[in-house]
Amino acid sequence: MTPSVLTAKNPEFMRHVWLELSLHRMIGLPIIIGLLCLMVWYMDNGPNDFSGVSKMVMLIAPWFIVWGSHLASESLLGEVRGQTWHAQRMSALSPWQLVWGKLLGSTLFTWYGVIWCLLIYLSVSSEAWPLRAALALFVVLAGLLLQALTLLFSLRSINRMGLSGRNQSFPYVILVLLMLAPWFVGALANINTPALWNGMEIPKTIFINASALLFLAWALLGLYRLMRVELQMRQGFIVWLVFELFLMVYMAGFFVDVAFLNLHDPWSVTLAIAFLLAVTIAYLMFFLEDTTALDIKRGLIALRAANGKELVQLIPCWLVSLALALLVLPFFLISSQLLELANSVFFLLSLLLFAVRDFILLLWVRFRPHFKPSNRVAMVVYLTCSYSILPAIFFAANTQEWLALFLLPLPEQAYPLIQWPILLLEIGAAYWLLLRRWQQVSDVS
Amino acid sequence: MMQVRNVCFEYPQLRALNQVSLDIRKGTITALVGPNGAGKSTLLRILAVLTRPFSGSVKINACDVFLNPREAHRNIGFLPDFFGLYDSLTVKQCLTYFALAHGLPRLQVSAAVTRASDLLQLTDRMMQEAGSLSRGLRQRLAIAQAIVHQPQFLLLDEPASGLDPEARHSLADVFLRLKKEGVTLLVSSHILSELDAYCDDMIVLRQGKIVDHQHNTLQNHAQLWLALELLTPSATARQDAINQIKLIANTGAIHETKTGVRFLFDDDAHKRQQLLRTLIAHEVPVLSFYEYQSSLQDAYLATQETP
Repeated sequence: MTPSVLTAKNPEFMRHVWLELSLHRMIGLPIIIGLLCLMVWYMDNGPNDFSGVSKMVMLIAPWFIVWGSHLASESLLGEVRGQTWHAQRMSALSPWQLVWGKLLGSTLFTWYGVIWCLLIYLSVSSEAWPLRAALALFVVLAGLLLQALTLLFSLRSINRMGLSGRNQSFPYVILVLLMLAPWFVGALANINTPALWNGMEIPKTIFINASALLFLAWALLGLYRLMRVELQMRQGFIVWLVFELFLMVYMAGFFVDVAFLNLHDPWSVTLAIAFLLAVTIAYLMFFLEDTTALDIKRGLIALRAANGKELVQLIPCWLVSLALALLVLPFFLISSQLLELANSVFFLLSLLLFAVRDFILLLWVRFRPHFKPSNRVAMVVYLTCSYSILPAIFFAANTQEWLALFLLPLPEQAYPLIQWPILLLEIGAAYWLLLRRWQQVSDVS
Repeated sequence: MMQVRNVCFEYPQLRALNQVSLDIRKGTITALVGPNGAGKSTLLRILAVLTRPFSGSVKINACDVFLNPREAHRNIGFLPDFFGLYDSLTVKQCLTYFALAHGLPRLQVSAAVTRASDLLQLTDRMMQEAGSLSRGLRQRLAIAQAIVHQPQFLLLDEPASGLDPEARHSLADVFLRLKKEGVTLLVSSHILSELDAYCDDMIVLRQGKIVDHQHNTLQNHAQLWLALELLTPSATARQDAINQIKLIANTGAIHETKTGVRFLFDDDAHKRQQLLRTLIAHEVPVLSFYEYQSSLQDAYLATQETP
């Protein structure tokens, strides 16, 4: 589709075309890229050596993409800052129009730069054509994924905090990107060795492009759903559930060929990974969703009114993840031959009890009448101390057996008869605290 | 017709709206008044389908807006108290964007833009960037954006705040023109004097509750108010006057003014004569006694005295 067709279909995209594309920018950018290429070509070894040029454009393209991520995030946060977001929410633009209008519209100029870089790379690279095309495709898919993720996190912050939600998601996404960078570099360096997934050897170029495409599709679906929420449209949790199931299968695929928690049966490994993933995602989503006492109250009102449609859309994703962990557990118990692998089973059950205790305590902090961002830091500190600093001290003191009782479940030290009563007591105490706070915050003037 | 039933909304430890129910009559201008923190802006955001209430329903022409929010948005225009414009776009681009964003067919966009710009008297500014407009013109452009799709309802939150008297006057003209075009307006404002110029109905919101909803407010109150000015408006003299007024008429609304008192009174000449005679007989120092042209402010203040 040409830009004119796109603008006809989407006013939001059209607005960005008005703002982003000007004749001097359209002419100036290729000239600058061309001059840089010329400079590097002169510095290369002879007129037929384009290796420097192809490396340079493949370094510039990610820079354009990162810049585009910032613009994608700003396309939303800028609306909030500029107080135009309400007007957009009041329009008849569909959630999907808003999503792709912002995602492609705000990054239009940076993609113009990326396209120039990729065209030059495809023309001068010395790699074989299939690899050249696969790498170019990866740049496009990974770029779109990164930009979709920054927009997604910006939208999430607005969803949660309304017009005060001006959190810049861009730096966090870049931080995650930097953390993942070594893995990417490693994968690209060994591009010719196949990827091992679910017992299958898959050519790495196909695997990384397929993965990027799948995650891009999920990111776009996530954006669409969050945009629906912003436009006051109803939303259930089924898609989230399906996403988690996808993630479980995808992640387990990397572990089925290696021993994991003393498990060797692929099904047990898959289910153990699924369980751990569900619990981990529940923790992450708790912080991302930021469930407040008012959300719970809204849910209770819907429950009392037997308003199932309202109730379904109020169920937080972290609760869905926790419920999924609970659902996965019996399957794991059956598949892992309970008696032989008692330790692993006890370990996962203990982990679940630890998680329940943590969530009750986290809610207790979150329900503070005058909750401040610093309280969120306190929650992170609590989790960090519980699961990293204090365990490290116990390990250093060689007293791991105490660790397993209060702070961190360990696979090799599962003592259900001692551990579980203590944990149940902790859960009871935490629940009592939460109830008291609930009574405090549910009183209104 | 917009129907609101039993709407509740809460902020942490504060019930912002408590069982709010009201009907907005078609083709009227309704003033939404109340002190700061009464819940006016929250109510407007709920009516604009931008915030979901905890409970209750909002219906436009018998259709629940929260079941089909995008359809509702086609029928509603909203100008929030703090609004922004796309400063880098021209007035024409702004209006064209919103006409398209509101789903108008391309062939109708140009006519809709012309109509909105004519109505808001922006025709000679079409090629000017929004960022370079004055406060009053920005306000007009924001309203033009909100009505470019010809909504049935226009909700305005403090539309006159920050405007000079001339711009306020021109805004009143705009509202009357919109009403003439068949648009139903709900205007929230603190400046009650300006609402006099155009409002038909008045809703008073206090501590999240509707304490009064008056139809044809000005007509109802214009004939009923009397003013009594005292030669020596001391507290004792005022109290004497109030006592006598209360004896003659069972009025709920008596306001003390700088020079005397102002009160609601039956439209009965004999009773009025009897009151004057009684006041003089009781040596209340009457300086003047006349019919007072009631304002929306009086109507609002009267609601404060209603238990």
